[in-house]
Amino acid sequence: MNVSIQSEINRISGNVSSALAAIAEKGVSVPAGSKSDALSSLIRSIASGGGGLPAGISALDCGSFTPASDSSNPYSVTCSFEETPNFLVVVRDDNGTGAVSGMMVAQIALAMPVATANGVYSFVYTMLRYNTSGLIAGSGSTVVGTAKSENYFKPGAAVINANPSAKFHGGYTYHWICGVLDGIV
Amino acid sequence: MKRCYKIIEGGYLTAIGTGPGGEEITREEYDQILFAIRSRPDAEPGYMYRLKADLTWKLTEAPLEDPDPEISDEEALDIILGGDA
Repeated sequence: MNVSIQSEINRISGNVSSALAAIAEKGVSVPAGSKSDALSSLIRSIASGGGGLPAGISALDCGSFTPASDSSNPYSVTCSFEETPNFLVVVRDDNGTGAVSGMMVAQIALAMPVATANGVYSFVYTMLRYNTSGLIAGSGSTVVGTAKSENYFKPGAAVINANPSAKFHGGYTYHWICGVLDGIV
Repeated sequence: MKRCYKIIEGGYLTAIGTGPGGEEITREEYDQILFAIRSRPDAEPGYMYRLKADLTWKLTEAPLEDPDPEISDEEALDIILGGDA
């Protein structure tokens, strides 16, 4: 597979623009000129209810895990939706103390992505750290991904896997928080 | 109340959690294990503590990090960019 870095940059840039537009549709104030750096805080606003998700749609805490020691962990969780969603996945760490590395974020993947009617799915996922006092501002990272297969057009259960090579810190509690970001097309 | 679980592998308690998975436990047992996890002693470099099923800690050598994971350039790029091209 030949991959042009520039084409990939363009693809990601388009995904970020789509994500920002979808977030704005949820009632969150998205400042002009916002870039991917702002996605975490904007998504956080939705997940906390501050962005005004439509009635009946809310961010779901789909489970958590707390490793006893630092290790690679094949954790996964299943989230269910009654409509065709775009996907928001937040992994929340209840007692982390610092920034999340890009690699940790990138190692979260949807095992069964969901799609919009045009066969393009968009999902946003991020790993945020909380401590016992609440969210550590600015500690999240976000990656937006898009695929082009109509095979993924399925509402319902979606399994989210942490890559088996992902490293999680012992003693930290990681939450899988799933929500719906419809409108990303 | 969300379901609580624990995961035991090879005599070691590797994780606890809420939601699906693992062996179901009571909330009281979950809290007891969480307290134990968060009381883990600090280990010297090259070593790590692992939690045994009886909630006592065992000092072991830390596993070596794989310096060269066998993935292709395309797979690496896909991981970094977060989606299929």
